[in-house]
Amino acid sequence: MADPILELRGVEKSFGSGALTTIVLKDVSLRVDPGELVAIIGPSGSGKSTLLSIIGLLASPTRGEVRLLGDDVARLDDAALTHLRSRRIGFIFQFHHLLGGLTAADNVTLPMMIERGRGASDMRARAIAALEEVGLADKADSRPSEMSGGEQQRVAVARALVKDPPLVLADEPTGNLDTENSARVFALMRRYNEQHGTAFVIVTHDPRIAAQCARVIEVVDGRVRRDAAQEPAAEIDGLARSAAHA
Amino acid sequence: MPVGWFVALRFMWEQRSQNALIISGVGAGVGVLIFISALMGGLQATLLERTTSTQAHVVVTPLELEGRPVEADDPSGETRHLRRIERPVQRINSLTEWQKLDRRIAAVDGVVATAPIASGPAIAVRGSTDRSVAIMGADADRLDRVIAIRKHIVRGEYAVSGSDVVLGIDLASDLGLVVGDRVRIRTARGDGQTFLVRGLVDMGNQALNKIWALMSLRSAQTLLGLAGAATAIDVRVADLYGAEAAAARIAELTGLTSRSWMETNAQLLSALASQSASTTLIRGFVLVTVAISIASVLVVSVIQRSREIGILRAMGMTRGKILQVFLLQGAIIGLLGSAIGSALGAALSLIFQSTLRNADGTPLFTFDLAPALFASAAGIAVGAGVLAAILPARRASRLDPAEAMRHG
Repeated sequence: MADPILELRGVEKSFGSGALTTIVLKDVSLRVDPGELVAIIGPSGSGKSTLLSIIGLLASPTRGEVRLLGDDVARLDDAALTHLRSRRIGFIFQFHHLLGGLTAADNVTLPMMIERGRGASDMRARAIAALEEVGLADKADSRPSEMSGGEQQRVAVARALVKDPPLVLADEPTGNLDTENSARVFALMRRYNEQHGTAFVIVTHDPRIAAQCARVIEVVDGRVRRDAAQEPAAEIDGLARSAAHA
Repeated sequence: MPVGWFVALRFMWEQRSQNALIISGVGAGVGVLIFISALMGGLQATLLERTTSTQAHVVVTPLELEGRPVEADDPSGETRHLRRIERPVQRINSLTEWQKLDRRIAAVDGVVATAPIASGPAIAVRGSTDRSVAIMGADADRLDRVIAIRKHIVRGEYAVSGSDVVLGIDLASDLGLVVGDRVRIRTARGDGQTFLVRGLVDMGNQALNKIWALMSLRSAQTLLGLAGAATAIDVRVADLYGAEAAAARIAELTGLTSRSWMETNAQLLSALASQSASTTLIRGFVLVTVAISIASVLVVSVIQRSREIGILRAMGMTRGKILQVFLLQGAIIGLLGSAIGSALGAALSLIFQSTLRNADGTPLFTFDLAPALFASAAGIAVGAGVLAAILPARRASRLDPAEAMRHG
């Protein structure tokens, strides 16, 4: 078996101190291999988002070990973590978090600029190609305010994928979208997973999305209650496929 | 373009109306700062120029005759002093061997020109009218190097050899004299001589214009009964504000009384100093105002953009780069504000300069619009901008990205 992209061992996360300590995650261990499509489900407040923050190196565990591509992240300082995040992880959030002052193409260019420290002439072409993959090449010069919610989220997907990271983390990526746009956005992620072998870890409330993933991790009260592979369901309906390939 | 600049400029462009307002505010502040500084600088330079153009930087005179306490032997052996000490009458006191003295003073560090002077009171008589005058006897070229007289000649020329005299313009008009007329000048002792008026001088100072009678050193010596002596040596120094130190060096070297213009105009100098202090105060307040307004706009911006900052952090922007984005915004606001302010301040100054005029149409004074003034204003504004941005920028750089983005 290939080396895991991500490995968590005995991860615990608590907030506060003394009598006010709240333990959000307890003894979480899991590994994610290249090309996996993983859904994390669980009720609100179960610790899913905190788990995703730890996986995404946005938060550090109180106890336990996190390894990303073999590196023990506890040994890295903020600059090294930031650099690792920049090169290895793509993020998609419930709210698109696009920069309002930038066009779609500029928003997609930004991760490349951040990694290299400055803009370069080839970046726009790559951004346009990424927008093309999400079916939005014609919106390259539109600003987020000129796009629909579904389009904004697809720009956010293009932004997460433009550097072709080995791991993409998505926190409720369809939580703010209607059924049609949810299906479309998820179909994009799934297709990218199949074609590029990119691993996806998706926190979701939506059972239809969880059903389409090859593996589901259920988190309840800060513990992994279930972690099982499954036969992914077919896409929600034909609409999503045709939309994705449009 | 570096990514920090790119993001900072886009952030600013997105909030352009807000930023335009704040930049105009900074511009107004900087404009006032430049206007006030130029006004004060110009005013001070003009006052100093007026003061120092009519007097020597340093005047060396003989020691004053001091009254000495009379001592009397006391039977008990103690020395007793008389209570009252009377100052002797100050008759015209002269420098003997002034040629040697003049050479020694000319060699003092910082001295650029010297002029031996014979001066004293006299009376100018024309017909039945007479006026008291102050005789200034000196070689024309040498005196002109110490006090610019030639450029203040308004009629005739500065010629004082033999029995030629140059009079203050008001003195001449009091006596009804024009160039080419003759005037008799005599001292209280009765010695007198008839002079030919060769020129009239306007020193821009009525007190001098009413009494000055410039003549040759020899004529003055004869009239005042000085028998070849001088009463003072006027000195010009290279550095106006070095006059005090030069005067001290001369006093030490010669043991004579040596007074700088700074000592004789101490009141003017202290007035100028307090004026400078108030200018500094105004600068300080402008700095604070500029800083507060820039800070307020950036604090709000950081709060509004916390999600965007979070995503930038998640995408791999370091804390340092986030810090840079906001410091840059502060600096850019300061820079643009100072550009507007410089134009505004210069325009205001030029308008005032063309409005404030003497009766003869010449500007009352020139505003001091030195390049250094604009550079320092830009420095102050950019400094204030960066300073103001520090707190919001630190706040932005310390945002927890996970926390920032969860609250959509």
